[in-house]
Amino acid sequence: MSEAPGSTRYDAVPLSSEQQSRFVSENMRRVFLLIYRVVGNVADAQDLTQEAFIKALQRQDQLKDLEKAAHWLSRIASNTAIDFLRRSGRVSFSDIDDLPEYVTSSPSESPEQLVLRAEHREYLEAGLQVLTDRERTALLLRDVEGLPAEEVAAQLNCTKATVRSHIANARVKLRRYMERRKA
Amino acid sequence: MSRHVPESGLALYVSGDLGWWSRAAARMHLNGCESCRKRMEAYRIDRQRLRESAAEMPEDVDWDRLAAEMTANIRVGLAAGECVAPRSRKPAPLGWRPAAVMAGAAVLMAGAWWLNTPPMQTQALGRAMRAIWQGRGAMPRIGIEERGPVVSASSSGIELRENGSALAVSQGTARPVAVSVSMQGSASARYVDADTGQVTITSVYVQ
Repeated sequence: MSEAPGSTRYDAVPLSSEQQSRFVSENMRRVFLLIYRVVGNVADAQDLTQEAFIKALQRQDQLKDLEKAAHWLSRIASNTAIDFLRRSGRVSFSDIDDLPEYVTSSPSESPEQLVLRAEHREYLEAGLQVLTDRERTALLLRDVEGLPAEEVAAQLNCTKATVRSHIANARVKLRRYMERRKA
Repeated sequence: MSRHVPESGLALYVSGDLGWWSRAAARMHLNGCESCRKRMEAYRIDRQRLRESAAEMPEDVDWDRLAAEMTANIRVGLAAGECVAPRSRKPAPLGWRPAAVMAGAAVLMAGAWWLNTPPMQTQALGRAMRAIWQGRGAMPRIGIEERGPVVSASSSGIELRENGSALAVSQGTARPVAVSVSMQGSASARYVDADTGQVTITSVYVQ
């Protein structure tokens, strides 16, 4: 993500109201985007982001290592999103023809670059929806959040070997999806 | 040439998630295989693009408005949580150490009291407790005869009685000024001789 997760170090819990506000503002964008990529829509991502922050701040006494506050928050966020998907029993497959088409605009890029970049982003966004919930979450935690496989395993409550399998499947599926789209 | 690296192997190779041996074997093969190198490079680019793409906000989102809304909702949610949170806390259980100290102190005080009480009283108390323990409804009547030696003070002096016999210490015509009887089984008489003005204190102890 563009922001360094948890740049502020906290000395002790419970956090003061000022520290809580800073904790929320520093991590909100990152948590929202993580949840959004997992659940795939803005309205649910908004609700779940709020829920994740409220859970985290209400359970702050469970935070053992203050230096890992950002990872701890990521764990709560990903679990909140996975629980939501499990509750809603959502099917995580999309029809290629139903996927939206849109183009981004940026003044620093040529029209050709813009189209290409938007195309790739669109493929990736749509490709993520082809993955299972656990494959998508494992891939996002590993590649976007930059967590090591051991930490991803801890967050998903499974073994490191299972996480490797999820990540490998996710990347292979995504690659095949991209190739099919290009073809 | 060695066998081509499987797709899953290439997918894990780009993030260093292959085991040591598999990684070394893949690296060796990739050095000499253009086809596998190209596929591996595609996975590397996918990974980089995913990271870039994931940092971008969705097109139709007004982030400032959304962030302000979520911040306000989080505040409200936390305040509501505080309102419904249970306020009372369970009292902390007494640790075994303070309980052991208190029990020891109680035993010590009971022993000290028992040792400082005259034997006839402790014997009588023991008999009374035995009677209660054995289920006899009424307290046993303990007669004077059963108590053993008895010390009493009167206007004529101090008297010690036991088994029908009596030993009296008389002060003669002097009038007693003060008479005291202690729980330890002693009696004292303090009086003044009318002729000489001499103060005499007589104390009798029961052993």
